[in-house]
Amino acid sequence: MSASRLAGLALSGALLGTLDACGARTGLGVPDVYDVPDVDDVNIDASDATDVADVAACREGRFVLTARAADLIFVIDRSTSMNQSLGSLSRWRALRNALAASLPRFEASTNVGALFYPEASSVSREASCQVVNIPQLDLAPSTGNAGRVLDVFSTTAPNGSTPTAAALLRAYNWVVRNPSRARARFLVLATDGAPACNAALNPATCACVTGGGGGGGGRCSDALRCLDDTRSIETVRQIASNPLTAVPVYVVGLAGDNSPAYTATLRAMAVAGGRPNRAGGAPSFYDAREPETLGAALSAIQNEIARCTFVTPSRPTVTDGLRLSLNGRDVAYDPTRVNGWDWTDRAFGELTLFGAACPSDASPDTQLVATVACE
Amino acid sequence: MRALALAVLAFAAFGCDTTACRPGTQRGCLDGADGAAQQPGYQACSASGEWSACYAVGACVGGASTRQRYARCDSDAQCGDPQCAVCGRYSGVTNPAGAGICHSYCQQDADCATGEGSGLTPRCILGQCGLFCDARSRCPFDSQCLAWANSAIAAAYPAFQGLCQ
Repeated sequence: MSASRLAGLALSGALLGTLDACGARTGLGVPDVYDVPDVDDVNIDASDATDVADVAACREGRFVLTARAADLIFVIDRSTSMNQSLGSLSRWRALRNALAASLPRFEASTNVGALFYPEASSVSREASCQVVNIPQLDLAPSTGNAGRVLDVFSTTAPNGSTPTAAALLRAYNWVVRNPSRARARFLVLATDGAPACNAALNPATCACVTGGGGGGGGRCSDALRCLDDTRSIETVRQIASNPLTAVPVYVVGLAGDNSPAYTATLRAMAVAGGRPNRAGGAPSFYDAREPETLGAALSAIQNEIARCTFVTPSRPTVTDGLRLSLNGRDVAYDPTRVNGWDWTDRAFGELTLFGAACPSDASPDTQLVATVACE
Repeated sequence: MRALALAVLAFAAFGCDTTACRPGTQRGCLDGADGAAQQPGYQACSASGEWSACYAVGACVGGASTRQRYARCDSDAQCGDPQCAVCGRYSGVTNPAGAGICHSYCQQDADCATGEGSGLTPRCILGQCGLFCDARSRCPFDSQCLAWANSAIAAAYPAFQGLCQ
C-alpha cells in the first residue's frame, strides 16, 4: 500500500472519528410535578406516580398513612473486576440476575433508574476515571424500567477503573436537578471493588487497590490506583446529610477484595449513607458473597424503601405532636433510627419506620395510623 | 505526507471545538433562558471526549427571574424559568408550614450570592444554593430563617441557626 493511500485512510478515519465525537449528548428527564389543592381525603395513593405528596398544614385528627412512592437509583460498578466470579457466575452476571429477580416485584411502588460507572465508552483507563459531574443518568427513574436496566448488562461489559465518589456525585446531581415533590429518592451503590480514581492522592504513600487489593500494601504505580476511601466516605456523608437535599445511600458490597481496608471503607460508606444493614448487629453494608445473598440484599433494600417510608397528610406544629400506631400497636419515635420512626423529610411530611418497626410483609391488612396534634 | 497525516490527526483530536475534548475537563457556557435572560452555566467533557449540554449555575442575568430567587414559592412557575431557579424545600430545617423557596444551582458559593436580605451566608453545597442564617440575619423577601431540623445538622453547622426558607 502506498504512502498516499495510507494517508488517505488516516484522513478518512480521523474525520469519521471526529464526526462521531461531535455527536451531541443532551437531554434531561424532568419528571412532571403537579400541585393539588388541599383535600379532605387523607389517603395518599403512593402508587400513583403523578400524585403529589404535598401535605397540608397542621390538622388535628387521625390519619391512615400509605407508603410514599419512591425513586430508586442504582449506582452500579462496571469496572474490570466485575468480570471476576461470585459463586458460579461473574459478579456482573450475578448482579444482573439478582436485579432481574427483585426489580419486578417492586415496580408498582418504586421507579428504578441507574447509572453505570465507569462510562462504557471510556477511551482509556485514565479516561475511565472521569465520571463528570453533570445531572445525567444512564436511565432516569420511571415505571417499567427494570427491563432497560437489565439490558445494559447485556449491551455493555465491565471495563476500567472504579470512580465511585464521582459516580455518586453525578447520580446525586441528577436528583438535585430533577426535584420531585411526589417521590422519595434513594441511591443504591453496588460495587465489588475499593473506590479509586483520586488524582490528588500520593502514590508513594497511599494504600493501593491493585496488586494485593485495597490497602493490601505495595506501592501504587499512579495516584489513580490509590484507595480513595476518605473522599468516598465523605461524599456519601455529604449526600445523605446535606441540609439542602438529603438523599439516603444504601451500600451493597459484592464479594470482592475482602481486605480490612476495603471492608472498612464499605462499612463506613454504609453508615455515612444513613441506611446501613443492621441485620448482623453492628451497622454495616449489605455483604453479598454469593448470588443468593446478593438477591436477598437487593430485596431487603427494596422492601425497606417500598414499605417503610410514609407521608403524613398533616404536619404537626408541636415537637411531639405526632403519634404512630401500626395495626393498633404504638410505634416509638426513635431519632437514632434503630427501631422506631423518625422524620426523614419533614418539609414534605415524610417519615420512615426503621429496624423492626418496619413491616416485613405487604399484607393489605397492615395499617399505619398517625394521630396529629396542633398548637 | 507524514506531516499532513499528523495534522489531520491533531484536527481530529482537538479541532472540533464544540465536541471533542479532554475527558474530565470543564468550561463555562451561556444558555438562553426566558425573555432577555442569559444563564451562565458549565459543560463537562465525558470519558468518551464529548462536551455535555450546558447546565445552568447561579442566577439569571436579566429577565424577570432574577428577582424571584430566594422568595417563597408554591410552584416552580413562580420562580421564573426553571433554568434560573426552582421551587424547593430544604430537607434539613424545621418547616411545619411546608414553605418552599426559589433557589438556583451552583458550582461555588459565589453563584449563590444575593443582594437581598442581610447578615446571610450564601453556600453552594453539592450543586445547590442555600442562604445560611442566624439570629441577626434578615432573609430576603418573605422568607424566614428556619431552624435546623435536628441536633446532628445543627452540630455540623454550628455557626448558623438554619436556612432562609
